[in-house]
This record gives sequence, structure tokens and C-alpha cells, in this order.
Amino acid sequence: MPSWRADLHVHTVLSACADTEMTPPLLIARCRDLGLGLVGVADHNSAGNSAATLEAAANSGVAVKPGLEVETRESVHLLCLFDEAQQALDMQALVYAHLPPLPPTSGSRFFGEQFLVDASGSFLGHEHHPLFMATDLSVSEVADAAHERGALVLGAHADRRAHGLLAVLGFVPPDLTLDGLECGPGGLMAGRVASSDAHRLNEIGSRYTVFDSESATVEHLRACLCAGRFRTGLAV
Amino acid sequence: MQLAEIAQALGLTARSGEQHLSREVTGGCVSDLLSYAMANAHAGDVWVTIQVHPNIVGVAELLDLTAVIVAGGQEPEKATLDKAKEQGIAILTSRETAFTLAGRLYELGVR
Repeated sequence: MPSWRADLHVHTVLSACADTEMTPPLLIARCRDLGLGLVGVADHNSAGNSAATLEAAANSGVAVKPGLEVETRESVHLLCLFDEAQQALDMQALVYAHLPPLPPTSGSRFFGEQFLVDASGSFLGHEHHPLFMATDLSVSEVADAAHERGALVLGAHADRRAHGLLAVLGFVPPDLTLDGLECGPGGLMAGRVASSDAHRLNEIGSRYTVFDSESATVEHLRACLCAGRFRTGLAV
Repeated sequence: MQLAEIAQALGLTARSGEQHLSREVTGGCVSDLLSYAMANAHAGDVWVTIQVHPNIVGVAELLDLTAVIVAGGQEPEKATLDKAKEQGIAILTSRETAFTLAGRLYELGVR
């Protein structure tokens, strides 16, 4: 069975906190250089650059999962990854409808710029939704809506104090349906997916997960997670 | 001081667990990180938070808190109130901020 070395959580220039070098062609080139076969592209509350990243990855040997890192009402980050850009954009439409109205802080130097770019990394425009804020959707509402649209849903950096599911909610809610948890910025944890949450090129692949899977579809990745057919690693 | 006296003094609305209104409040905790509350609140405390997720009931039950006060006009999820009623956990709500509630609780002698 093929192996997929994956970094399921990478940001682009659309996330205000990411470096301006995080453009689709540069991040795909970095993945290819590192031997990553699969990358999840998830900006805060947006999939605005995911179609461009899919396009940039054509014929690169790197499979892209378009997605979003949604911030729930409780301040928890959920990583939602899809097979198709359109599914991610459907989720984005729901998320945008549940973000607060634009605050006066947007566009401030503190929060930084939110760039929409094309597959070559050229500037297309500014995203004006306040992507750095929380939606008014609960963790269950986000997870259920993402699942309905075909997502793999993971608790992002679940053990991290800021925005991690375990710190914010104390424990995994008994009625919450997740496909897995991603471990945080430190080390690795048994049974948890590891990814980089890269905001800079040199962070990509610093933590990774290898899936033993026929393909990199959401369905097959979920089956790997259920069956424990994955292992995690830290790049040195 | 009894929970009922505090509820009256602060104008809190009891949403579940009214049977606990006669219970003594022996301390307090303010946190919106449930993990922090789990590690630092004590039995008999009132816990002031703006979180409304059903997990707050689990924390209150685990620690034997006297009540959870949901601050800032936040509305508890229906699942939260259902679970609180089922498990007999007192949830009270207030339009005041957590800052104001903590100050007034301290003034009332909850320390």
C-alpha cells in the first residue's frame, strides 16, 4: 500500500499571521523538496487561496487538500480538509456568514494583511472578512457542517493552550464527532496526527504524519485514522 | 454565604439546579479556559465564565462546584441547560461582565 508523507496544516499569505513568502508556488515547491506527498492548506476561517494552491500543485506530485481552520464560538480551532475546492468554498460561505461585522481593527498593522493570490502567487486582492476572529458557531455546529460538506475534521493543535480543544474545553466533548486530533507545536503524541501549522516556508513539514493509504481522499484518510494506519514524525 | 443571597444581590437568573440555591458558596474562580478551571477551582466555588458549551456542566459536576455563573449576557446552549437540569447542576446567568461579577462577589465576602 502506498505511503503518504503529509503535512495537513499549512497556512498561506491569506492568514495575516503568515509570512508573505507563503504563496502557492513557493509552498508547493517547498513540499516537493521535502518529499511531502500531501499537504493540507488551511487559512484562518477561509479557503480563499486553496483553489490557487491546487492549481499551483498540478503535475508537482504533491496532493493538496483544500480547507479552512475554523475558529468556533468557544475559541477552539478546527481543521477542516476537503477533497474539492468547491466543498471548502461552501464551508467558507457558511463561516463568512457567522463572522462578526468588520471591526475597526481590521487592516491594522497589528493584525496584518490578508492577501488573495493566484496560482503564480500574484496579488489578486485583500480579503476583508475579519479572519482572525471567532465565528458564532459552536464546535459541534462547525464539525457537523464540515462533515456534511465532506470534510475530514481534526482538532487543530489540540493540546496547545491557545485555541486548542483540550485546553479551551477541558476534555473532548462526549457528543462531538471528530476524525482526530492534531498535536500541538511541541512534540508528538501517540494516536494523534502531527502537522506543522506552518506560517513560514521553513516550518513546513517540521512535524508530519505518514498515512498508509490507497489514496489521499478524505474517505481513505479517515479510514487510516480509524484503523491507526499512520505514524508521526518530527523533521530534524 | 448562600447561593440564593448572592443570586439576589447580583440579580442573577437561575436557569437550572434551583435546588442548590440554599447551598453555601465558599470561594470563586474566573476562567474561560475549562482546563484552567478544572485545575484551579474548588468544591463549593462559584465559577464565572462566558463559555456556554455543555462541557461546563462536566467541569461543575467533576469539581462539585456550587454554581456556574455565565457572564456577559451569553446564552447557554440548550444542550448545556438540558444536561445541567438532568445532572442537577446550578447555572445562573447575568448581563454583567465577568470583571464586574468578580468584583461584586469579592465585595460580598466571597474570597
